[in-house]
Formats: sequence, C-alpha cells, structure tokens
Amino acid sequence: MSTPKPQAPRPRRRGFSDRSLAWFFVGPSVLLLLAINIFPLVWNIYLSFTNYAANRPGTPVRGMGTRNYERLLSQEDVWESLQHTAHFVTWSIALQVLLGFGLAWLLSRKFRGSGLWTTLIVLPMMLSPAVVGTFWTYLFQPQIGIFNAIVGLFTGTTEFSMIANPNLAPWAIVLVDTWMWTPFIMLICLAGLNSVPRDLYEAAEIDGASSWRQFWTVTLPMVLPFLMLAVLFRGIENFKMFDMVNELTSGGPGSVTELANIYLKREAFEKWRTGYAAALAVILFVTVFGFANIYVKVWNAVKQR
Amino acid sequence: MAEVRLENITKDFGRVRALEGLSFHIEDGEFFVLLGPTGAGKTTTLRTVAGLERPAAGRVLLGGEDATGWSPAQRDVAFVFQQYSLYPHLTVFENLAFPLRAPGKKLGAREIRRRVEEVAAKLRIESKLDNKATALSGGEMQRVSLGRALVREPACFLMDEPLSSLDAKLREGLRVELKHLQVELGATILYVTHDQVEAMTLADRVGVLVGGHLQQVGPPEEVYEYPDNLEVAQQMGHLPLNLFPVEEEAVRARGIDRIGVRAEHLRVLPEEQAGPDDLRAEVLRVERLGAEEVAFLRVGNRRLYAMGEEHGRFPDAGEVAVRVETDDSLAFDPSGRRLDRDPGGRGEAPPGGESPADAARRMARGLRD
Repeated sequence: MSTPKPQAPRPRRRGFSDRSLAWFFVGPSVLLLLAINIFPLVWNIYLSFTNYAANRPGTPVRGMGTRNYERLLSQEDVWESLQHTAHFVTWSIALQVLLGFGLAWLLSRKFRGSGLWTTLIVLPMMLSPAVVGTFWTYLFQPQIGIFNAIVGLFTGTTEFSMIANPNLAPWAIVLVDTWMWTPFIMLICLAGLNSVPRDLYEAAEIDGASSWRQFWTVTLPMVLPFLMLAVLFRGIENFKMFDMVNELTSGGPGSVTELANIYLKREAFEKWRTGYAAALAVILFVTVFGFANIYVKVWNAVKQR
Repeated sequence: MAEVRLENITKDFGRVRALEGLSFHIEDGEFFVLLGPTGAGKTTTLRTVAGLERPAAGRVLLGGEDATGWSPAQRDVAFVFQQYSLYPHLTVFENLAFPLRAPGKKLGAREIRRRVEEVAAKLRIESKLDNKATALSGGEMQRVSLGRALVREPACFLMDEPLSSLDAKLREGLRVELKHLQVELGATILYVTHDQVEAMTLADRVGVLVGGHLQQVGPPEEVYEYPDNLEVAQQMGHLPLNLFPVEEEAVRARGIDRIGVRAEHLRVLPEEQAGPDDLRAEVLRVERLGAEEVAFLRVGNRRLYAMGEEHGRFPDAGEVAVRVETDDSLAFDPSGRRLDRDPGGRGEAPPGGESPADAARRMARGLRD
C-alpha cells in the first residue's frame, strides 16, 4: 500500500474554457454589430455637433456646439415635415388597423377558399416598397391610370391627380401604404383571432351574451396584445418611411408629402449639410425610441391583464 | 328547474353518425349521468341539449316545451365545460356576474352582487372574487366555472366531464360537494363522464351510451348489477369484466355464449384449498392499493382480474385457485345481450335451467381441462 502522493495542481484542460468558447462564437457578431451599428450611431452623434459636409472632404471640421439643434428646432420646415409624418403615421395606421382587423375577422370564419383569399390579400406585402411607389405613380396617372378610371366610374370625373394635387397627395401616400401593409395587420390579427378558444364563445353564447358583447369581452381583449404588436411594428416603420414615398411623390407637390426622412435626405444628400442632417437624425431616433419604449410598457401592461 | 326530454335525436358529422335515435328524459331535480367511452356521443348529446349543435332529426323538450329551434341563450341552460372556459381577462367576480348581465336578465348592480357573493360563499371562493380568473388553481377555476352556472339559477345544468382535469384528491372532494349542492338546490343535472366511479357516486339514474346508442338507463346500482348487455357491463366497473366463452353444448343450447364475472366476484383461494370445480391460475402481478388489492391472473392464455378488500389476500406469485361462486355472474347470448334480465331475479335460477353461476362453474371446469 503506497502513501498517496501530494495532490498535484490539476492540469489545465486543453482547448477553450466554456467562457472563452462563448466569446469565440459571439465575438464576430459583436464586432460586426459594433462596426455597422454602434460606430455609425456614435459617429453620427459626433457629427451632429459639427458643421461637417460630406461633399467637402478636405475642409476643416468645426465644432458647432448645440447650434445645429437650435436651428433645427426653430426651423419651420422641420416642424412641417414632422407634421406630415404625424399625419401619415396616424391615418395609415388607423386605416390599416380597421381594415386589417376587419379582414382578419372575416377570414377567421373559415369558409371555402379562405386560405386562397389570405394568400391573395397578403401579396402586396411581399413587394419591394420602392417598386410599389413606382408602379402606383402609373396607377395614379390622370389620363391612363386605372385609379382615376375607377374613381371616374363612381363620380363621373377623372379631372384630378392624386399625386400632383397638394390636397390629395398626403392621402395618396396614406392610401398606398394602407394598400401595401393592411395584410400585415391582418395576418397578425388572424393569428390572434385563431388563438381564442372556441369554447369561450360557446360559454358566452350560453351565458346569453350578444355577438356585440362577445366581441368586447372575449374577442377584443384576447386579440388586443397581437394588434398592439402589429401597430408597434407599423408605427416604427411608418415613422421611418422613406422609400415608397420617395418613389411616389419625392415629397411633392411642393413639400406636402415631405416626411421627416425625406426632408432629412434632402438636407444630407442634396444640400450636403451633413452635420445639420445628423442632428435631425438624432432627434428622430430619440423620438421613435422614446415612443416605442412607452408603447412597449403599455403593451406589457395590456398583456398582463 | 325543469325536466329535460330528448326524443329520437339523430346527429351526423359529415358521414359519421354520432347519435342515432337517442331518447331519454331527465326528471325535474334529477341527477342524470351519461356514461360512455370516448367518442360515444356523450358531449354531442350535451351540446345538443345546450343548443350548440342542431340535431338532424328529433326534438329537445325543456320543461315540456319544444326547444329544438331555440338558441342557447333562450334555453336558459347552464354549461360547465371540462376546460373551465373562464373569461381570462375578467376577475372572478366579473366571471360570476357575466351571465347575470345578459340583456334579458335586467338585474340591478346590488342584486348581482348579492347573488354572486352568495354563490361564492357556497363554493368557498369568496376570498378570490377580486383575483384574475387565470390566477387561480385548477380546483378554484372549476369552482368558479360551477359558480358561473349556479348563479344563473337555470332550467338545468349541463356538465361536460367537469372534474376530469383535476387531480384525484380534488376530484373526489369536488364530487362530494357537487352531489351535496345538487341535493340542496334540487337541481336538474345532465352530467357527462367516462368515469364509472363518478357515474356510480353522483347519479340518481345513469344512461350508458356506446356508439351513439343509448344502451341502458337506470339507477346506477341496477345498471351495475343487471347490465342489459355486454357493452354496458364493460362500461360499468373499473376493472375489465372477466369473460369466459362457453363451449359446453348443453349450456350453449340455452343461448348462453359467454359468461361474465366481475373482478370482485372472482374468489381467489390458496392452492391447497382448491376444490374440484376451481380453476388453477398463475398470479402475474398484484397491485396493493391500500384498502383493496387487485390481482392480475392468467389461466391458459386468458387474463383474469380479481379484486379483494383484505390485505395479503393474494400471494405475489405462484399458483392460486379461482372460484366463481357467486350468483352475480352474468350470462350473455351471442349478440352480447344479457340473459335473465329480471332485476328481481337475483340469485334465482331461471325457470327450467341452471343459474348463470352454475353455468360459470361448469364452464370454469371446461377451461381448466
């Protein structure tokens, strides 16, 4: 029987420890994220305090303090573009919620061919927004556009242009966005409606609840979390709207459809006031971030009910 | 409360006939249990009474009036669902008050509160009234679900396996409470279950439904002891019925095709006490359940089930003697119909022949050989 040797320090295992292996896997994405998300953000914030202009690379960059922001917030154009954005976001989402929920409600009553209808209705969502913007300019064309022809069928007049008339153009972009994105709200509402157990309706029916009351006490509370999520997505997207509207109206006529992002693009890449545009970008970012955060808090409260 | 009457109800789902010419009635204040295996049409029957399904033919009468074309709300029946079906975003109070707020009811807020609190007290959920329905335990949820039915004071209660998703202890507790409540309120209840213990303990009368046909209706003890046919005999009783095929010509000539013996009527004796008529069986397994024991036996290639109430009655392994000695054995003809169906004739030999027990004993002899 030999005496046990004094315990040698346990040899280090070969290869990676769990932790370093984790870093090894996550590292590349973290680096990528830093390079294409975090760095541009920080750089943008820095630029917003300068008079940097991207088309004049050689000129010395001066710090401007908060003067970019001061100018922005006192600029009539900026407030107007934000008002256009608010108009666009509010109306497009209101319409999409109404139509999307309505369509989902109809499609949730599984009828013959409801699957086919769902597929057909969802099609616009699959197109590229820029393509949608471009071909709707043809649909809106006063002489040969089908839109005017259809309106003419009902009202007898085709003497108007959706996108050249300053009164109608803001509604044109709402219309096209609604056409394109109603299916998105519909899909999510459909998922919500399908998640309501059948027997709840039966219980309510036996309890003598009218269809109206069933809707308010069973359907709506159960679909609301889904609907709110869809509205959050659409709200953020439409606040950032650029491509479709840029193709359709480019902000015109005049500036009646000049959304915040289109105004920003003009300042940054047409007037080349990069620092000034960067400051607007920061303001837009903070706004959408703030709204989204408040909204998510409300959403969580609704979900918990 | 009102009596419920079903007349010749037939119901199809596509090509499948779920119910065929179903007729029975439930008296005012009666606890009627519909027992049957999965897919027998029990829930369909219940939903037809509730008005959630329209029968293809036949009539539903509530309190003597033809209610076949009425909507569920018009029928004034209460339904207790297996999966509770509480309104998840409402409080317990609001769930209980929900049916009272139906347009036809026209009750004041004070009256609603009084009735909800009364029912909550009866079901011992007063302290939960302000909780969300989803924040309750299963037993509490099913209490609320019962409460939602009770609070309406409906014409009758329809219950679709209300206890089956609860654990065993809770189920027993709630079962006792339910029976107590029914007696206290004099409620008319149509209760659907596949659990024969619930049928035996709750029912004033039980109806056995198999394959869309009502096989037999009667007080549970009677249906248990004098099943009309093999299917009923197999539904009642929680251990499978021991079935012996009859091969002896003399017995077969009297129309007896099979003999059924319930597990508790199969006597198991130590091998050394075996008589000449007894079977020799091998003990495969014994389940000791505390108050009772169940033995799984084998004779030849046939399985037998025996149940006893004393400890250590069955040896864990080895050979035992099995005796069919009671007069409670059941004789069936080739179509599965039970012979000697006179409930008064317990233990008496049918005129002009031997009793089923005699036949069973002789048949057992045949099995052994």
